[in-house]
Amino acid sequence: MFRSLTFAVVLLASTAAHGQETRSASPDQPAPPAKIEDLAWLSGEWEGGGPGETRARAVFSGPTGDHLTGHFVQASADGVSFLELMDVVETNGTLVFRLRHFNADLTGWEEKDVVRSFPLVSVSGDAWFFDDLTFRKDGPDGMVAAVRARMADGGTRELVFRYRRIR
Amino acid sequence: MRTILVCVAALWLSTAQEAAAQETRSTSPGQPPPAARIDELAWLSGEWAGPGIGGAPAREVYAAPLEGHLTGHFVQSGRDGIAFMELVDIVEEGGTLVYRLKHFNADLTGWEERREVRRFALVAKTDTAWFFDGLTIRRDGPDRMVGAVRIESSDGSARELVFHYTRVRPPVASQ
Repeated sequence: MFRSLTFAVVLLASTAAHGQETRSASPDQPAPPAKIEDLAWLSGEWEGGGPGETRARAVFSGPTGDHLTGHFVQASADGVSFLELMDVVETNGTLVFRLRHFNADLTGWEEKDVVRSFPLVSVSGDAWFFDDLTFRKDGPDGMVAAVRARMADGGTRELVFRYRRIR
Repeated sequence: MRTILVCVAALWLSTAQEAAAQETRSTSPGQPPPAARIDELAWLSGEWAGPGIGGAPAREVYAAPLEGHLTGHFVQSGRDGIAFMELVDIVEEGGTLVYRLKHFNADLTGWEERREVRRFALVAKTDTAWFFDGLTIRRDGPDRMVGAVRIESSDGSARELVFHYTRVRPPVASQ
């Protein structure tokens, strides 16, 4: 119940994209070469979210070796809705984006051994397209993150978060 | 030669860090937690780096406070890359502060079960130090921070791990 409620909040908070910010992996497509340094611009603190009363923060540190680690906080009028621990790792010459979700009390959504993993699908200009998850540089101090989420009715919808750099 | 020097340095750091520095305090029965607000820790927001466990690089990063939460993550490097990570969330609860965290391996699998959260209640505070139960955050000048945690071994003995951090990314200027 709480999780679906949280999801509803996220839905309300986010802009439904008419554009196509995300791309999905296709079976025959090899992962493009990429290095963790390519995403070093993500380091720092980003503030943004959707319209209305919701706010989101994304913070990345490092890079540390092959990893770029970060966390995400989504807040609404009722306080913090959920958190994420994020980790981008360079492996086999390409990148994988991994994350885990947590409630505001830090209890997890996923069981302790379950990690959501998004392989890199393509890179185009200032956009890194992981499988249904995109990070796009939007000017010197802007960033767009987009995720293709599966809805209860079986359809999918793009959720787009627009950020500005505050650190 | 360089390797030897690095090893010696690491050993020295390691020894220094595990000294009985008495940075941490423990809760005692009947003692009410001191009043504290999350904004007191706003100076923590930003990125901190320094020698961690065994002298290997450690890094911690906190976002600016949001809705009563000061959220961060911690990365401890080891010989073969990242040794482990933490998701950290300090919250204001009942007029005092609680430091909560979960540990993760480098592949993001967790140490704690899904519902399990390590919680450290605030025990005492000064103008520059916040003593959670067995875990301390101490401001050491404008751009330095000391983190300390008490580790208890299975034989009942305890030692302190002390992290000396330098600020590598400034706090948000306009909050």
